[in-house]
Parts: sequence; structure tokens; C-alpha cells
Amino acid sequence: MESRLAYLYDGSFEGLLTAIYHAYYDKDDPVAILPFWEEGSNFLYTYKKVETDKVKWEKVYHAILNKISHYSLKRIYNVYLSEMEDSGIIILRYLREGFRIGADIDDYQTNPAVRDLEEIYHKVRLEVHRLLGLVRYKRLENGIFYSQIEPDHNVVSLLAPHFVERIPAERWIIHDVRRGVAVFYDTREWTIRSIERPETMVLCEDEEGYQDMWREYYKSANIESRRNTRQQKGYMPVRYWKNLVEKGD
Amino acid sequence: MLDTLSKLKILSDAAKYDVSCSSSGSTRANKNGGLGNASQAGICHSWTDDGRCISLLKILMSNFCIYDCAYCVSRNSNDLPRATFTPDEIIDITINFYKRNYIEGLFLSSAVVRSPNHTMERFLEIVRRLREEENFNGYIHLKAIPGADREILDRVAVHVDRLSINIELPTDEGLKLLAPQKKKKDILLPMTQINQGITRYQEERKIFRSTPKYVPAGQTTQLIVGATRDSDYRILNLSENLYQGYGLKRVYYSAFVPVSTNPLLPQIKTPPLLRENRLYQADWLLRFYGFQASELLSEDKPDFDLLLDPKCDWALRNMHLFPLEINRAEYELLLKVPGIGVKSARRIISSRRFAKVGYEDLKKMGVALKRAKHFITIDGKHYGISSMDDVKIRSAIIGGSSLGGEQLSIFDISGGVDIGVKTGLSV
Repeated sequence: MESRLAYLYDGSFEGLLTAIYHAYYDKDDPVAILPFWEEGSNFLYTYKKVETDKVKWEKVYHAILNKISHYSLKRIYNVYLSEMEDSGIIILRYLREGFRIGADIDDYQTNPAVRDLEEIYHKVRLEVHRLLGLVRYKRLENGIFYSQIEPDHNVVSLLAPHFVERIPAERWIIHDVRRGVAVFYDTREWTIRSIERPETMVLCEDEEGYQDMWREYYKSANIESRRNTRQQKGYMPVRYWKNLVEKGD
Repeated sequence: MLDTLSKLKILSDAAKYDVSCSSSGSTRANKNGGLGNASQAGICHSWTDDGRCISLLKILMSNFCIYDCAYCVSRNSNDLPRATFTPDEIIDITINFYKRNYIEGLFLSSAVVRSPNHTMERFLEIVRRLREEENFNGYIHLKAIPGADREILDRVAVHVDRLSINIELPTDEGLKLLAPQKKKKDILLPMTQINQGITRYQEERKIFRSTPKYVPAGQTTQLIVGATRDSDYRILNLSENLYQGYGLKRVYYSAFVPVSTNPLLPQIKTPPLLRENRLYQADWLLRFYGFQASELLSEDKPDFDLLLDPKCDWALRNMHLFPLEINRAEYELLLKVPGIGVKSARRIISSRRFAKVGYEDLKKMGVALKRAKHFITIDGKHYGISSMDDVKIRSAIIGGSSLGGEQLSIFDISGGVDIGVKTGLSV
């Protein structure tokens, strides 16, 4: 059996766009586009490394903006952040259709390439939407509002703008402990840095009091005779519970 | 003197029977580096064990009431712990919950303390200080107290996103029986006044951009289902009139939860949740699907079939309209097909501009084919049971589903509801 070509890129969005460039200009037909740490994960693949190159990725970036749409670019960026294994190749297939059809591409909902992209995009947006509600900040002794999340997808950068708009006058951190990255906001701008799990965190004096009140409120807002935990878990999947003040430990 | 935690326990417990929790419909931008904004789609922050969403901090300012309404847990003859928050306490909890991302904002209600005007004056102090002193731009939903002066209603309205007045009992007879101190005109008058205020604001805003906002997310109300003998038809007719005549944004339905053993009230073990669900589905049909109350129900058929969603029920009584060809039918007609929702109807329209829509495509678009297949043809082919007989289709649809097995979700109505809306809504 003929071995199948898989591209490897450096894991960055720019790297992914460079891989797309090569798929076009090298006339390759890769069956997978993966970050480099996936090398060797499939016995049947032949791997080809792609070096991230500014000229190449900028060309693809602007081609998407000019020949398809800004909305398309947003969608593939979200799908890239899904970190799902087949997201790279799904983006390539979608862009091939996009360059053929143009700005209307997202109306072609019966097109399999569009549908596959939509499916992952939808998953990422759903998680972002959920987390806008489920992020819980704790106020630390130094006045910083700190929160910890463990999302399925790499969404901290998609959460940040919402909280900049909402809580502009406080310093806050959203920490993805699964990936070891966090958004830091210092009342002027936000940055993403990788961090380790902090060893000790000293809470501010009245933090426990507000947490107690929130737990109390959560409990008493429930109407026991309407109990429906199936619906509850549908909206708020159990995997998010451990970082919630009202549900976790 | 009670501490804040104990007050919170008492005053949130008493507020929970108000089902509205929505934080949607308002876009209030953050101003001058203040705290918060309002998101158009609304955001849910948690879900309680009953599956309902928490979006707002829903509390009573006080549960010391001068009234004695039989259905209400705070009625003055009820023996239960009483408490009153100070404005400082409410402001402090709201701000601190908001900064921790527990809530989208405040939903403040109250028992009627001393007089309607007195209660509204206290409300005014709280919302004015939140907006002006704390620079708080999050969502505020306030219950207006019937019987208060218009002047104070207008002063409150410029600070809040949403005002609501609960009608609770859908008929005069019900009101006389269970809440004899309340009068229909006292409830409807402020609803008219709010509607006028909103209209006036919209007119003035065309001329002066700086006109202060007036209840930008509109007004809502709540009807209790099952505390009186009123039929679904009467309830739905009232809702239709409220949407058309008073410009209401939402009517909420609350299955009656027995909170008292008053002999005037029905003795029920569990709240009529399925009936509540059917009313929500029908309400959706009024607002988004182009239906009228009189098409769905009548004096001869005053209540919904609990085994079928209202659209299915309607379609089976109007079999002469079906089957519809999915690749040709107009949008308005697609909306009337059981199993097709607003989102999937739009998807069908936009997709078929480019290619014929097939069975698998419909599935992917979120059409509930289990119901829809009986009422449509797909490129000339019919996938439902062989006859277009309403009795046979009814039993094919109901099939194995039993009352107890049905999942209660208002979104079952059609499938394919936009997820942003789905998670943003809260009922």
C-alpha cells in the first residue's frame, strides 16, 4: 500500500498557513496537516516538515481576506484553536472550496468540506459561549482576580476580549491549567504567556465570604419539585464542574 | 439583626418562583472604564439542579408584604422568616458577584413594603446608586410595583434594562378569587405607561441621540399555569394580546408550585411542567412562526394535546396543506412543518439556491425528520408512512413516547435552534 503524505508544522497559526501554501504550490495532496509533536503517530504516514515562512503565510492570509472573506478567516482561526486532530486537513479542504467558490462559500451548507469545518467551528464557539458564563474569578490578596479553566479547546485568547470590555479596571488572569497558558490583563492590555500552576495563592480577606454567599444563593435558587439534572448537565457538562465555586470542592 | 448571608437565603428563596432570568435583549456598553456591559444574546452563568439557568442575581429587596395573595409564598398571613436588605447590601453583593463572573446583573423584586410608592422609592435609590455611584453597566431587571405613581416609574426606567409586572393570574375571576387586593387595572396601567415610555423614547431618540435610555430590553410579564382552571386557549389569547397591544418582549409561564395549603388552591403533587412546556412552545409559534392563537386552539379545543407539540397538533388538523416539497416551498410554509425550525428553514432556503436539498442534508441541518418526514416530499419522494391519514401519522409520531419519558425542553419544538440563543435563553 502506498504511504500517505502528512505535513508537519510548528503548531502556530502562521505555521498552518505556511503548510496550506505548500499544499498549493508543491502540488501535494496531503491527507493530514499536523503539529510537529504528532510525528510518528500514524504508521502509514510519510511525514514532510514545513518551515514557517512569513512571505508564504502572509500570502495565504491575504488571499483568504481578498478572495474569500474576513468571516472565513475568523472561522478557520477558531477551527485551528480547536486542536482537534483533523482540523488542519479540514481547513485545507475548506479553503480549496473557498478559493474556488469565493465569498459565498459559507452558504454552501450541503458541501461536505463546509460542513466539516462548520462542525468543529460550532464546537469551539459553543465552548467559548459556555465559558463566558462559567469562568469564576477569585480575588487574591494582591487584588488580582484569578480564574482557572480546563477547556477542551485552546480558547483563552477567544475569552479575553469579552472580559477586557467587561472588567476593564481590574487586573485579572484566566489560566488554562490543562495547557499551561494564561491570559494576563493589567488594566491596559492583555497578553498570553505560558505559566506553571501557581504553588500557593493567598485569597483576599473577604473572598471566602462572597463564595459562601454564592453557594448559598445557588442552593436556594433551585426548585426541588422541578428537579431535572439531565437538562442541567446538558447545558453545563459535568467536566466543567470542578472549577465552579458552586459545584467544585 | 440578621447577617447578609441569612438575608440572602431568605430573600433568594422567596424570589425563585419568578421564572424569568433572561439577560438578553440589551446592549449596554461599558462606559468610562466602569464595571460591566450587557450582552445582546445574554449569558447563563450556572444551572441549578432543576435545569434552570442562573443569569441574574434574583432576589427580593424585602419579603414583608402588605398583601395576602393566596398563591404567593410571601403573603402576609404566611408564617415564615422575614428579612429586608439595605441598599448597601444589595449593591455590595451585586458588584462583588459581578466581578467574580457569577452573574450578568441584578433582577430585583420585592414584596410590597408599606406602599407601592415607598417600595419603588427604595428601588430607585438602589438602581440609581448602582449606575451613578458604582458606574455599573451590567444588566438590571426590575419588577415594577403596580399602584406606584407614573413619575417614579419614569425615573426608575432610565436606569434599568428591563421592567416587568407580573399578571400572574390570567383572568379576572382568578384574580378575585386568589388575590382580592389586586385589581386588573392597577396591573395593566403601568404596563401601558411603560409601553408609552418606550415608544416616546424611540421617537425622541430619532431627534436627539442623547435621549436617556428607557427600558432598552423592553417589558415582560409572568402568568401562573395551573393555579386556576383557565384553559390554554385563554392563556394564549392573553399572551397574543400582550404582544400586540402592549409590545411585550416576553411572556413567561410558570407551572404552579404548591407553596401553600389554601383551600382555594388546587391540591397537586407536582407542578404541571408538561403543560407549561406546551405553552412555551405555542408562545414560540406566535412570536417566530407566524401563527395566531386562534389557529392553534379554540373554544371547542381549549387545551393542548400533552402528547404532541402544538405545531404537530395543528398540522394534523390541517392535513390539506401537506405534503410540502422541500425544494420549492416558501419560507413561511416551511416554518409550518413540524420538525423544521427557524434556523433549519433558513438553511434550507440558502442551500437550495445552489443545489437540491436531500434527505441526508436535512438531517445535517438539524431538521427533526422523525416528525417532518410525514409532512414533506424531498425532490418528489415521500419518506413518511404511506398514507397521509392524520390518525395514522399521529400514532406513528407518538409511537413509543410516553408522558413520563419525554424530555422537557422548550427547544424540542423544532430542532435546529441557534445554539447561541439556546444557551443564552433561560426559562
